[in-house]
Amino acid sequence: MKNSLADKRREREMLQDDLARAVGVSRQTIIAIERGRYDPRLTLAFRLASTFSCRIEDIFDPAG
Amino acid sequence: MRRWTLFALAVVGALGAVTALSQTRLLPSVLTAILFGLIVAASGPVAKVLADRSRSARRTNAEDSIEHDIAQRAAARTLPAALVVIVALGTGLALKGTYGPAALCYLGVVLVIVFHWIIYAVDRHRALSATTSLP
Repeated sequence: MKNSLADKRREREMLQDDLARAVGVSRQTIIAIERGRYDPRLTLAFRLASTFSCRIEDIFDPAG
Repeated sequence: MRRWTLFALAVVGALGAVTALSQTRLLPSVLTAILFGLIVAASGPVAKVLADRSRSARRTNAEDSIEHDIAQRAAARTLPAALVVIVALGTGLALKGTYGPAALCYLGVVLVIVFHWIIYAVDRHRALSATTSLP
């Protein structure tokens, strides 16, 4: 699934490890999501959206 | 990494020490067997504690982490492989004429498959009953 996680993270000047700590997953999970190799569970998608104060669909594009 | 190295050295050292003592015949063979068993049995929980600490520090054991997902998929893929290994073992035993142990292997395979379907049926029932009870 295409996503704008890396862009959102850079906008906030966060490192991958910072984001990983914030949502309680490994840094490798963030890397895999940003590269589009791993689709997160709904719970993690909600936490990511909450971290960036946006909706899930603002980060993830199911058509991508 | 340092913890794992120390742990591996400790296990190898303990096994080596028991082996050396058993060679000098200072230890009775029963005690040697017990010590070997204790070392191997104790190394399991210690290894688990070390692994859990390492995973917690890197959050790789978090339910939403990719590592957790991969571990679950690997476990699911291991089941058919384990069944094939047990069937192969049973066939080997049957070809050697040891039919009793071969039958136990096949019985084990049948039990594992039955357990799998029981777990599947229970989980499916829980999931579907939760959805069908909605208005």
